[in-house]
Amino acid sequence: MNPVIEAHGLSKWFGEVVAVNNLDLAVEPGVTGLLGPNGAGKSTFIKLALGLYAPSRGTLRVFGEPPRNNFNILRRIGYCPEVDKFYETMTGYEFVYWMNRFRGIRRDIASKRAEEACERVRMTDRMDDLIAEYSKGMRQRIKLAQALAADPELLFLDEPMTGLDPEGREELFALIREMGREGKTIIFSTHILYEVERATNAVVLLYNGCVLAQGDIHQIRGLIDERPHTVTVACAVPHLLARHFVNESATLGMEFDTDGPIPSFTIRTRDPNAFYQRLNEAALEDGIAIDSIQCPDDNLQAVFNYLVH
Amino acid sequence: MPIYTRSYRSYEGEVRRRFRWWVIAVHELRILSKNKAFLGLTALAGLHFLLRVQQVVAFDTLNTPGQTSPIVTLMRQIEMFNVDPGMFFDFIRLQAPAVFLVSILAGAGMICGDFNNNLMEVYFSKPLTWRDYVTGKAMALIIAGLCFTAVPAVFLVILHLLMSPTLETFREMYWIPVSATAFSLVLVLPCALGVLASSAVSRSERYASIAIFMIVFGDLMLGQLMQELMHQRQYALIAFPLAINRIGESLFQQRFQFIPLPWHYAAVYVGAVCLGALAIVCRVVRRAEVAA
Repeated sequence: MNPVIEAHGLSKWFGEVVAVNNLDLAVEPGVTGLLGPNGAGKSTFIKLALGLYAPSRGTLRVFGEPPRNNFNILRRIGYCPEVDKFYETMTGYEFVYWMNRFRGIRRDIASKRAEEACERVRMTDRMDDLIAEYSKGMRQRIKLAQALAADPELLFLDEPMTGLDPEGREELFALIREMGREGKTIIFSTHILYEVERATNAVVLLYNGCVLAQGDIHQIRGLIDERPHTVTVACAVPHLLARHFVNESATLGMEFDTDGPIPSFTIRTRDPNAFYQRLNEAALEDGIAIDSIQCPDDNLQAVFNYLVH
Repeated sequence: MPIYTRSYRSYEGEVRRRFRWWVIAVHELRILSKNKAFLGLTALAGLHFLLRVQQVVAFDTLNTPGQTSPIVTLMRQIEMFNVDPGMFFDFIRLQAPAVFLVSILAGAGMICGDFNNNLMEVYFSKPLTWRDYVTGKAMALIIAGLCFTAVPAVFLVILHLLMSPTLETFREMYWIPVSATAFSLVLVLPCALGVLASSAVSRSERYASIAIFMIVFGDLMLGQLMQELMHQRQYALIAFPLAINRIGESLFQQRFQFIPLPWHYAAVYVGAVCLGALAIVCRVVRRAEVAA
């Protein structure tokens, strides 16, 4: 499958500030989270992909073509910017309609699509109200509607969850996943790890303008061999179960928690696969019922911390 | 089957290769049409137009060969009641304040507002270039300005020709629509581009409005001051509105009233101001397109 976005040695600097540094990246259809702290280069990368910036060095191709001043590409892209100050004297519907018109969409289709997009982001009831009267969450939704309205194949969402209430977030997660299943390419940037995990496993981790890692978050974690994996096992008799791993060469340390409602032990191991295999055998041997197994560092936060620090 | 393996659904938009700016112009005009101050100004300018319509109707009704009443004789002798090229020149000239105010009302926030609201990146993430953007914004102001000047002026000419359908009237007036359009453009273009330039370099609509007011009135006062200090009327050319009127005098074949200088001096001045303002707008917007 051809990647939708392909970057080779992509760099962008503003004076002496390097915003994006020698990126090699390929983004495939589906949902991809662009993750990194503020100033990591997420927005710069999105603007490069939108053709708003010209690369200082390297190449960037979207749908196989350079995006800058390329109307054939721009027509296939939707963009939901981070800021939400728009024409305050317009209604939400008018705003979405005119954004469609700016794309070159015919009047009748632009109107129909604007209504559909407002419906999709649950703004039909309020779409005829002035944007000035909208709450932060409604502005976010209407901004999203203008990005969705033209039914783009590639959608960039810059910090899309900002200002949304929990219900709105859930709806947006569902919408993102649904569009991903439809085969569209959605790239959303955020610095909140939890948001990425809710929507996708495919991530691009950016830090100081460089790609730290790209791919499935669990696979990335698996590749960080120098960091021990942490596994917490809760059962009625943790000491009994833990003794099977004391002499294992891959075991680096253990901690016991017997104060909580369910006793548990946490093991740090270099070889998590061997541990899981041995855990099954040990539990069967001793007839111990395991209440839960958790991997506190098999998540985005842990991976991000490992890669950054 | 996922969409990407089937090919995407066809894009339903028009493939506009030219006149992409038109949507931006229409959009701005729609915003302007909802502005109450604009509607008030339109009503005021409309009153002036209605008075001129009455003047044309009265003149053409009374100015027939058999009329000998004292009122008709009096009207024929008072120059301001005559329907001649000077009347059309005066009509457009007197619409200038309305054009100036409408340009400020519509244009002062056009570019700085988009900057402040970060709409530049929204515009330029669509299939639009900085040329479309600048042309669309400028055309909105130009169209609005022409609706106050050229359009009613041409309507008055047509009305006059319909009311007095003689060959002589046609011979006297056939060139007036061209002159009215040209003078309207001379009036509207610097207003539109000047206000846009002010908007491009200002941080807010208010600053842009104050800046353009100060430039125009400062320039007008400087022209008057130089004229008084140097005791030469040519220095009045510095006053930009007078330079515009000087071009209008030539276009409507009127005698010198404002500046005793050939019209092309004024034309060079107006042209330079327009080009300067356009250069500022293009530079700012082009930079915004790159760093939106």
